[in-house]
Parts: sequence; C-alpha cells; structure tokens
Amino acid sequence: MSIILDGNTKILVQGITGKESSFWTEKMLQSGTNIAAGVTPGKGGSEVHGVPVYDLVEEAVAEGPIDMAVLYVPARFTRDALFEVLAAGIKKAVALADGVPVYDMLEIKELAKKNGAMIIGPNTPGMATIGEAMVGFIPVWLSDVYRPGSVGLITRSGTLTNEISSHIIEAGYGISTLVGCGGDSLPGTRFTDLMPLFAEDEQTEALVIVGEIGGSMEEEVAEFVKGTGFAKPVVAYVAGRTAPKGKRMGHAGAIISRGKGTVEGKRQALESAGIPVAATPAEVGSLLHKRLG
Amino acid sequence: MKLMEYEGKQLFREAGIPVPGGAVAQGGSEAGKITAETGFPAVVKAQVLSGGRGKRGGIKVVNSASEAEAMASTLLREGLTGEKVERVLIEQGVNIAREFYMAITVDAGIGTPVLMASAEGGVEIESVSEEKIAIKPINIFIGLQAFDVRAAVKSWGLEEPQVKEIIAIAAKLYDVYKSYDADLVEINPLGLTEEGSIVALDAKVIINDNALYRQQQFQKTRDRYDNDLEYRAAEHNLNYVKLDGNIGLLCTGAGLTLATLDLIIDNGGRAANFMESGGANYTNTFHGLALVLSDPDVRVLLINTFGLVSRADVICRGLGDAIKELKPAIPIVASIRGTGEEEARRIFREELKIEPFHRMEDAVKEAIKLAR
Repeated sequence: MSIILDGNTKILVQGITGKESSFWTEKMLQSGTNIAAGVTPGKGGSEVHGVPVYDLVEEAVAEGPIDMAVLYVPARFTRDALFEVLAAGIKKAVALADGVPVYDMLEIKELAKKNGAMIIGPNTPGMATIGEAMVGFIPVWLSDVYRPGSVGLITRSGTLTNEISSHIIEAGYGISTLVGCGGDSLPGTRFTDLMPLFAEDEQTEALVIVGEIGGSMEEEVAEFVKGTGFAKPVVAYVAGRTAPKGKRMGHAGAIISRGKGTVEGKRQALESAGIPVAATPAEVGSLLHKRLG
Repeated sequence: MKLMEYEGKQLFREAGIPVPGGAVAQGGSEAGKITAETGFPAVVKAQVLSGGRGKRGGIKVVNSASEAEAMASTLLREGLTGEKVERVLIEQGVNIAREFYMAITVDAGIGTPVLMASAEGGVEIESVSEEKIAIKPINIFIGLQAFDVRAAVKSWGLEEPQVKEIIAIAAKLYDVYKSYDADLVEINPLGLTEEGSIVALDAKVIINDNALYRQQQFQKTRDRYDNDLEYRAAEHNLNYVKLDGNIGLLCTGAGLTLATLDLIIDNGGRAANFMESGGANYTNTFHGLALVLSDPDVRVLLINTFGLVSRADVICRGLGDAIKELKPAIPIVASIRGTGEEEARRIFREELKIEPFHRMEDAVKEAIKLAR
C-alpha cells in the first residue's frame, strides 16, 4: 500500500527530451517507475531510454491510459503544460519547476478543482513511494537516505527532505510515501490535502511533517489533527527559527510577514495538537523513537 | 518586488483610480517647483519601501514652496531613520473626512485572490480585528463582481454615489492586480474627502517575483535592495540576505539553508549570510561564491549540499573551479551528500584537498570553531 503513486501508476513525462529530464527519466525507470510515455512538442516519434515520445498529451493518452503526469517543463510553460494534461483527462500531475507565477497557479488551481484533479507542486523535488516508484528529482537509490518503511513524509523543501529522511533511516525506520508540496506560497496541494490519504494508508504508521517559516500549512496540520483525531503519531521539524523578519528566504513561501508565519507560532500550534517539534533535523529520529518505540 | 508609493500611484492613475495630483522629485528645488502645480497645503512624502513612514517623520504637510524645498532637502540628505531616501513625492493636500482600507491579494488557504475591505483604514491592517475586515474570494476566471464589493462595503454607511465610485475603484484595482501580476495591491487609506469624493491616498503594490520575466517594466534597481550585496545577488538571480555573523554560507536548497542557519545559531555561531543558489546552475555557483567571499565579515566558508535537482556533482564541479579561480584565503568546511555525491566528494578530496564531512552538524561545528 502507498498513497497517490505506486509501481503500477502509469506515468507520462512532459518535457522528456531535455538534458536534465533525460537524466532523471533513467533514474525513475531504475527506481521501478512505470513510465508509459513522454511528450515534447516537435519531438514526437523519438524515444528516450526506450520510452516513446509524442508531440501531444492527447496522442499519448490515445495509446493507453495515463494516471499521472510529471512536468520537467520550465516555469513559464508550466501553466500551458498543466492545462494540456487536464484537457486530456489526467487526474494527477506533479509540476517540478521553480518560479511559476502566482497568477498562473491561481488559474491552474481553479481548473484542477473543476476537473477533480490533484496538482502537486510547483517548486518541488517531486514524490516517491520508496521501493516502488519515484517522480521528480529524488535520489531514492541512496540507501543511507531512502529505504522502504512505514513513515510517511510530507515537506515544503528539497534538499532538506533528503536531510530529514537520512535521519529517519538512521533511526532505523523507512519511508512509505514522501510528497514534496513545494516551496511556493501557493502550492497546488497542501499538507492537509494529503493527511486523509495517509490516515487510510495501511503501510503508513507515522507521519513526519517538514515545514519552514511562512504560510500556514503547519498550523493547518495542527487544526486537522485536533479536528479529526488523526490517529497516527505525527512528528514535525520546522526550519528557519532564526531567520530575519520580512525577508524572503529563498523559497517564495518562506517569509515572515505581519508577525505571522514564525517558527515559534507554528511550534505552539503543532504542540497544542500533541505534535512534537524537533529542534534539529537529527532530533526527528529520536522523536520517532519516543512515539513509535 | 515591492514598488515605491509613487510607482504604485502611477499604475493607479493609468488605471483610472483617483489619486491626489502631484509629482516625484529628486532634489529640493524640484520639490519646491512642484508645489506650483499642487497648491497649498501640499504633502511631502519620503519614498521608501519600509512601512510606518508617518510615525518616523517621513510625511509632512507644507504651506509654502520654501517649506516644501526645505523638507524635501532634509529627507533626501539625511534619509529616514537610517534608510536612504532618493525621492520624495509632492502631493496636493486633501481634506479627509474618513479613511477606509481596500486590497486585493491571494489567500493561499482558499487558493483564490480575495478582496479585503474595512471601514477602519489609515492604520496597519494587522491591528484591525478580523471581524472588521470583509473578505470576498474572487474566481480567477470570472473576476471581481460588483455585488461582492457592495456587500463588502455595506457596513460603511455611504451614500449610493460613493458606493458606486468605490465599486468602480475596486474593479480598476483588480485590473491592476491582474495586469501586473501583483501579489498585493493595497489602498490604505482609501479616503472620503470633505467634498464627498473617494481618493487613494497611498499605494502599496508588490509584483510577484516569479512573474518579473513578463513584467519587464519593473527593473531591479539598487534602491529596491537594503545593501549592495543583496543588489548584486539579485542581478545574478541569487536570493541573498546579509546577516550579522562571520560564517559565509553556501548551501543548496532554501529549506536546508534555513536548517543550517538554525544549527549555526544553536551551536553558538553566527552566519554572515543566507544564500540559496538554487538549480543545477554552474555559473551561479561562481557568482554565489564570489558574492559570499566579497563580504569582509566572512572568516570561514561553510558549504552544505544534499544534492537533489541541484546535483552535488554539478554544484561541486562549479564550486571546485570557482575555488581554484578565486583562491579564498579563509578556511573552507564542506558537507556533501546526495545525487552525484561520489564525484562531488572526489572533486573536494583530490582537487581541492578538502575532506568533506558526511553529517552537516559536524561541518557546522567545525565552521564555528574555525570562525572563532
């Protein structure tokens, strides 16, 4: 069991012929990902690591069902690429690009809502069900960083996801599914959109939330746990405790403004819902020990 | 990108939102001359990006050209509580009966733009209690609806002509929001004059950074940044924030960089900067390193990467070449893991003779020790 993605999920890779995406397509295939098709306008008829390439998403869909699209597409083309995915009836998409204009995301979110589709990202490393499939940029083959197991992981960042996961592995646990919601101020999928899925997933016994300054996704997790009685142990880490106010710290969503979005505020909210907050990435491991034994 | 008031008011004026007559000046005598157009009383307003100008003496009513000239000269010469003032806005004085608040921004929780309106304007909106702010979600494909504006301002108790005027202003404000890819368009205060007309007395516009590629009329000029280093970083599309410590930081990924900052402070050190040189961008690595090293406060360089999309091998190839060319005279500490880690470690070990750490906590502690 897993959520959203497993070894049977049929994947379409948009922008498959690029240098980076070709590198990562090979890594995804090696990780067990079931890549059915690739799309790059103008490159239809070619192949990338044995994956057939089409000019249009609808041509790929005509050859067989697609469950999820992953977009190795630059930020400025992400809206059009996602509109094409939605028009073809695909219900899940992972948009990786950093730098998608907020206005484009507003249109994407509205259209996805209308189509009943889930958009993960943008500005995300992607997602993975460890041991089954990976879409994006996640080095799941590093066995001291990722191993299959029972801990669900949802994050707002990339490299920090690796760091936290390595401590979960070091503590003797493994990962069920990890989802990068991305570092933007307006993510397509929020932490709380994923929690009902993790609640139902039999493989997932505990959840680790990796947050950072800015926005309100961590506070929403606290409200969700209080409101639904989410039964599995949750442990959190929130980065940026010492960040100066009013400055954008790398991620578009990482800014403390109007006194809101501080780590202290998030810590208080999470702890009030019974969710311990690790002081360092390494402490995530010991907090899991306390909660899971 | 936050715009100055005069820039926001120019966008408002072009969109048809009423603003007081006036012009911007970069010198005292220029400011005096503008009062021939505005008449008296006039208002001299320092153009700075930080809030709370009024309380700091950045806004002053003047009654003669010489008074305007003196006030403008003082602000331009002395700045405003440590902040440089390069321009002043000279505006017609307006007789204000009431001050309201109106803004359009994104509500990330709802996932749509929202109209925010309150009868309590002229103060920081954060200090207004939530039940006194009307919030109306806007469907991005349908746009702002007149009935939503009418409902939002119903409690203000205005005459019908003024309600119609405010509905028209809100529609134009939404046009500005959409046309310029704004994160925020805010009128605070939105004034009702003694004569019964509605006028935007201030303008706060923030352009979405991700959309700047298609909003090229807004240039990254020096006056938009707090210091030279942050300005130079922006020219290379690096997100750099100057901090007060002595450990120069070169990390990949915003989240990991934030976590590294926290670890440094928890262990008794101070970072000289935040910087994220995101992406698998070879040339940015060079500029990023040059930038960090150009800060005279930096006594040790801490490199931390846990390669993902920005592969450790690509970043470290760039860093290796940059270190060979820039030859930093300070010690270098590195923690290297992730995508391409074997080649990345080889570059550091064999080419730079630097033994990278495996755990970032160990690298952080070593950097703090060397910075003392």
